[in-house]
Amino acid sequence: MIRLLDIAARLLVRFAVLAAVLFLLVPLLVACLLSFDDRSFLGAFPPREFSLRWYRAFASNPTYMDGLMVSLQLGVVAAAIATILGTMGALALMDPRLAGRDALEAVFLSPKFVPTVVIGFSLLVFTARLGIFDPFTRLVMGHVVITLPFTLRAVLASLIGVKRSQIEAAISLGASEARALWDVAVPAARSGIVAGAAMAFVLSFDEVAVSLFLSDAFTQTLPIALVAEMRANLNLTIAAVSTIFLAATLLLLVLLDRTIGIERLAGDVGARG
Amino acid sequence: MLDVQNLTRSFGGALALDGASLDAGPAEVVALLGPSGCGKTTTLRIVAGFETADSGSVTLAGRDLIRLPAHQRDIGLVFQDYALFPHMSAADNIAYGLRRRGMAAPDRARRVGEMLDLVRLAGLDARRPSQLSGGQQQRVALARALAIGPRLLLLDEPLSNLDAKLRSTLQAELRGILTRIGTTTLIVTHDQEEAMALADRIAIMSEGRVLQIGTPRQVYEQPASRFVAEFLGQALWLEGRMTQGGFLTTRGTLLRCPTPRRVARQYGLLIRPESLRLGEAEGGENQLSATVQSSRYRGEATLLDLLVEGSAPVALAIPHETALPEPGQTVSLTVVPGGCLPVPLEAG
Repeated sequence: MIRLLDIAARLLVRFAVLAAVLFLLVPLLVACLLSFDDRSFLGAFPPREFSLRWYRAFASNPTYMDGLMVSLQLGVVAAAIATILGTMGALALMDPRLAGRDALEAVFLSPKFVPTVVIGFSLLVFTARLGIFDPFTRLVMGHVVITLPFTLRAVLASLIGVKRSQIEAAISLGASEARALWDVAVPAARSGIVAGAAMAFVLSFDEVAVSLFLSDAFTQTLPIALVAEMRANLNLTIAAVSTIFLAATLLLLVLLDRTIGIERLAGDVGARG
Repeated sequence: MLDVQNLTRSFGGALALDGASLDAGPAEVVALLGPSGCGKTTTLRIVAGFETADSGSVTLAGRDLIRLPAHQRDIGLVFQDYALFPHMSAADNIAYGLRRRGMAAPDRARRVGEMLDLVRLAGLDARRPSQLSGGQQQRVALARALAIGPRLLLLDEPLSNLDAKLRSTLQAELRGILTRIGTTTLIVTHDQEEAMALADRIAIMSEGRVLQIGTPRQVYEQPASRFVAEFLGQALWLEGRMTQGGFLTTRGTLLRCPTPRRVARQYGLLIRPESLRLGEAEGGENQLSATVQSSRYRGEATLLDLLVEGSAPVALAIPHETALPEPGQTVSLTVVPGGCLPVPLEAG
């Protein structure tokens, strides 16, 4: 009896896993296939003829191309700033003498739990008050706010193995506090820094809600341009772009796996709360 | 050389240091010995510059250390967990302090070579810490601390992370290295055997104060108070009072003993187990009666647990050729001449 229940439970779990995998993958595969559809309208699935027409449409659309450039620049700048700030924050949080460490960590990580719409609107009001109207500067600020928790978390996780005594050993050997952190903690955090930077870039690249508030008609990120286009005339360009996104993300994951290991990256992403 | 005066430090109301003082002369090895929580690690961290004192002074060769930041104190520090830099080779670990001092590469390489020879690790210079055994890591940590030619060497529980066999080998080796380099050294330890084996003088700490500082022989044979007597080695402690001709126990036994070295209000009598003999001596003087509680086989001898005069426990090593008394039996113990010492109850 118990054996039968065991087998039934095992089958149920396997079925659930399979269903979850299909649920995750099938829409991606459908989008992927549709992006190669030769028809000029949204026809029945599956497509009969294949072509690269939607990719050409994407490449020849200046709105998309401008958006791509903005997104790439924004992603690099925001990820760089968030990585530097996140690394410095994590190093500061490492010091056991720092008063209110837990509270500070919570503050640093809080943007994860605030709805992005709220962050976007708040920043819009805040930057206007500060007299910052340049949309790219505004976007960078917004994207740094939303990616900082991820870079901080990734670096913090990689610093777990660094003991305070190692920092103190470096200090006793003549290193200043900053120098000791640079020589001992930063090398240990290298994988966390790389993972954090990569995550920050990916997050920034497909961010919609905050960007919606902070961009204007002339400076749009690629996702914003896509959303606008989709509302104006729905066609399969968006499937082509989705496929490019997917391929680029996969490529990044493979590169990260080669350099720092996928478990580490998954662990850091899994810690997003 | 090193002079520590009246250090106090409290952590959120709890007094960790309560006027701790100690000193170490040139090339002297001093062990700071005490139970956990006695303030010895806090003292070490204040000397190293990683902890601040509420009051008191620390001077090294006449220079005020308290005002110097930790990285300018020229103190070699060996941590309990060794704290080696995991991403650097043994040689790079040892060279770290030399780099920070801007030593040129050829001089650095020569100094690292000397240090590797000193701790007998020649040939292992390219290994990462994770590729070294615990004893080897300990020696790299020592070489790293000594490479900078420190004015003072601090060792925090240097051998506590090693297994017993390795510990005794390394103890002798460490003592040899300390003698050879002639650097003033402060060792923090809770292990009295380690303190006796390594130190020229031992400072016994309890509750934030140094109770006594002296050579291992002095603190063992002439303890200044009951705490010191019982913390170091095995001790039979008898309550009673000083009287004409000796010490009178509460049970009314008179034991002949030397006069105490220090005037105090109350004394107890310290007898080391090695000064006790099982059985009656001729003349019937200096005898105590005891009840056998149990016996424990210990390989080289059997330990006999005794309750002396109904209240004071002591364990006596009995050679195997001697017949063992049964539990419950009453036996006589003879104190060898000069084998007991009146010791003040409280530290002075």
